[in-house]
Amino acid sequence: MTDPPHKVFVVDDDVAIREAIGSLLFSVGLDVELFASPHAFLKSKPPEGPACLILDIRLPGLSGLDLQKQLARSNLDLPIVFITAHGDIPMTVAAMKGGAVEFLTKPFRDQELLDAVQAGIARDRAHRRRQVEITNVRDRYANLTAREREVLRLVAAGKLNKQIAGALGVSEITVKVHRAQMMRKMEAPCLIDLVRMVDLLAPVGSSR
Amino acid sequence: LTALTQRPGLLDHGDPARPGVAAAAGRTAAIADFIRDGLRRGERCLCATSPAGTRRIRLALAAVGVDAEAERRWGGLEFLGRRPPKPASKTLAPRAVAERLDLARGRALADGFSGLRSVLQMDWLLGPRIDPETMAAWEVALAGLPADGGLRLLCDPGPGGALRQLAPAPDPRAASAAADMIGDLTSSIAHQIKQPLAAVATNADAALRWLDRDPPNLEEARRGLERIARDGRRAAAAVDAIRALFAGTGEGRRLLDLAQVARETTFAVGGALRDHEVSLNWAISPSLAPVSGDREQLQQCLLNLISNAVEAMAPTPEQHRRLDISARMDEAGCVLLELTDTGPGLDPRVADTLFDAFVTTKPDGAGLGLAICRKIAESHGGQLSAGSASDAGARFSLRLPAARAA
Repeated sequence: MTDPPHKVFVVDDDVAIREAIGSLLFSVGLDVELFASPHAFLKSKPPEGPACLILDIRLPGLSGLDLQKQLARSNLDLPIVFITAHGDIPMTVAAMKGGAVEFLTKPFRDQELLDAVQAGIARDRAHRRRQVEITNVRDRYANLTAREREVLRLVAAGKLNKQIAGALGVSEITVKVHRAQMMRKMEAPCLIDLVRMVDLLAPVGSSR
Repeated sequence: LTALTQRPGLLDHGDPARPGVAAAAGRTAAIADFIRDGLRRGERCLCATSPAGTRRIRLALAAVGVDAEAERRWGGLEFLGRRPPKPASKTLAPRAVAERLDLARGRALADGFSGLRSVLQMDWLLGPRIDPETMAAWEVALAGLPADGGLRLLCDPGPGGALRQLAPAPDPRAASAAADMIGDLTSSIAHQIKQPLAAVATNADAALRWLDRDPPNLEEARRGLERIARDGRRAAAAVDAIRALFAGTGEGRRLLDLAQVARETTFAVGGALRDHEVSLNWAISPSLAPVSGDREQLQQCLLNLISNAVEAMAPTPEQHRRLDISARMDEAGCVLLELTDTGPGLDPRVADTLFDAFVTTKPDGAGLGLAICRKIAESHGGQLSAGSASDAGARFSLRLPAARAA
């Protein structure tokens, strides 16, 4: 495992529930941090590695659903497993629409909670990998010259060298040189990889 | 206009075939009834009526028991305006009036009233001769007001016209007040007991996992068991607290007229009674002794019993739905309050367990209502029993000891 340790945050104002969940997660080797209120959680250090948040719906100060919205806005969108003593359907729908991993009603089975937490961590890991990849691809793209970017756009659109040469008004040899340079800078071994990278760049690529 | 009177939510109480003085008197009496009902339900009542109309309505109100003293006590009645507004003025456009009524409703609710009703004397507001088109425009605008906002309107088109009551959909708040109270209560009881039980279950799961490890982590398992013991006691304490809640401590007790408490309770659920077409029959003995009790608890008890009766009478044809409430002294010198409905009566199979907690015949009931009622009766040193009345229907008897004269 090259990842930093997995972390699970638990926000529940009931100390009994908090401790019980803490012990359960700890028993399967997860790193756990417990919080009594959303505000205490928001003041804590953001996780470095894949993480997941277990959140009670009914909380003092800020409700679980409000915290979910706030996290989504602040770009700190951890996967959330909601727990509640009495969930109604509108609440469940709101939580799931907000991207919750799972919505568990107390008392839940231990395996249900552990499965949900694992699913949340897996989701966060994938999300983090993608974020890292996007950052890398963006950095590489930023190093391209204006001409190389044009070539990239046309290559990714499936144009042949001859067509690109025509579109840009340069010789086919020049296109080949730019193309090789661009592929090297983007660290794309083949066309398929390049197209995938362009997908990651979507917001950047589509605006140009 | 005939089409309008057939709109859902628009009731026509008038009789255009009977014009003249008798009709005018009948109209005024109907307006007075409308206002009195509103005052009893704790609603704000605004009358946009001419000075002459105001005088007639005040007289009719006095005839149905709303005198100056009652008016002051209820405090929600107001007669607007002395001079008729200019009919052509912009503020009298139907839409503007509808909007203002909606605003007034919001203010009334904010001021603690349960709703707003308004009497509009159309011939005074719009001038003596109203063309049908104008009237139709008004009715369309008024019919477009929010149906569920506790707003009721009575339009009096003037001589020869029929009173039109704009009755929006039944106010769900009054009908469900009792259900809400029990609902909130059960939900909060459930939460208080469920939390520690959920912690117990999770701690037990965790302790088992600590024991299943190789080697077992006895220290963590032990901590889990300690928490289980603690949370188990907490669940028990929650149950004790809930019982104490209904046992009553004797504080907040004062001398009460049980019949008066019953009357207040029926005012509170008047909307539900009316909506279900249940007529009330009172038989109160004049020599009723006071009881020593907690007004709110007794009201809650009666509220449950009345709501049950109303629900039980759902299968009864509307013209036979009747709730008899009687109060008298029994042989033992207790105050006996009896509620008898005309529903199908009690199923003998459930009669024995009726008052047990979590026993219910309703698909969505928690089965706490009657258990709480009996608890309240017992905490007052009294009894609550159920039986079937001779002419079908269920009868609930609340017996409370008469308070000793202080």
